[in-house]
Amino acid sequence: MHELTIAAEIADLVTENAMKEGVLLVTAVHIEVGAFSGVDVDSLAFALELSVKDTIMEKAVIQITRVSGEAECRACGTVFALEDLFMASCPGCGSTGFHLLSGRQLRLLSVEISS
Amino acid sequence: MCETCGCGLPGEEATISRPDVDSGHHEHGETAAHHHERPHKSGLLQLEQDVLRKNSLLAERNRGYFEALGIKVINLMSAPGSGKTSLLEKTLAALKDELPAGVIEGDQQTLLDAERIMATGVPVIQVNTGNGCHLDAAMVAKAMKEGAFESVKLMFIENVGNLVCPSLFDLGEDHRVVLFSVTEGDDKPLKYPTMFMSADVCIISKTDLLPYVDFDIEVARTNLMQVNHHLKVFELSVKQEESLMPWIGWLKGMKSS
Repeated sequence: MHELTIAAEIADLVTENAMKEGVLLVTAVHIEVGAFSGVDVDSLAFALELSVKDTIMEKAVIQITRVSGEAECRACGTVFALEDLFMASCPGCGSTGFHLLSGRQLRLLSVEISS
Repeated sequence: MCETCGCGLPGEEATISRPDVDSGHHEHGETAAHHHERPHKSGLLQLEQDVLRKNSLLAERNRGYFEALGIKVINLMSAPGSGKTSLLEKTLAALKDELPAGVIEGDQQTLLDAERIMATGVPVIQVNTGNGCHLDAAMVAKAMKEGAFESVKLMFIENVGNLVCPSLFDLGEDHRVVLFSVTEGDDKPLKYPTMFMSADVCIISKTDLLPYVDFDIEVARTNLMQVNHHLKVFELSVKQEESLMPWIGWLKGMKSS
């Protein structure tokens, strides 16, 4: 349940950024979770419900976007989306040799604020 | 109408951008004679920040600290019961007199593991995470300050027994070593890929039990390579001292690298 630690971290990050801007209310928070980030979206959503209590983002709409991974084939250079790291093969040439371009990210994308 | 502050003056669309621009509150020019007690803002703050940024920064600080003191650091991770502490006991005994080691023990509760390590004569600090399921860089920084690690050249950090959470948290280590025992099944790397991808060394432990369990070591190796072909793999049992030698040899070689 590392999602709870991560949720607390997100609440801190949002608060920190909002304070810097002199913001009093955060109305929405956008988070991006990569398919291979090691974070479960449902667990994170649940953990955030607890973590935002008594914070500047208590009433904020929390939007968590799960993004699939993206890989580049080592053989033919095709860039393709993937959900499963180990069963995937290149749609262009069938090769199983590829490297991951994205999918491990866990980012606080943006927050919507209001005075 | 100025949407940013509601001051009634004509203005552009309120856009507040981070991190490239410090203030998104637009300027009205010198003719606009209005003042605010404090800036009121609304809109979108573009942040694009790594959520684990704080831990990563602190981990890098730890890494610099260890490097400055010439300490090599191993982050030892596995599910509960794979044999981390038993391996440490044997490893510390084998390294004695050659490589001064220290241990940070991570567990949710109790001093049990730290007491086992203390019996080997090696300085040890126990970190009890309470409800926490992993160690983080801040805990390691604190433990380093409190331990009697002045002469240590090789630091083992035994993470909380958990094959999921510790994979996300950098502690400032040189090597991430993941253990899994033959009693756990040869499909473990496929079931917990995040952990096996984050590691650079894997130890298959309790190999003395191979004749008694349905564990195909070839399948295990294939699964490991499928998840992370950069893994350096050791196969050993703490019940068979000679099987520990490649691992011990690798640790000894690390100090000069």
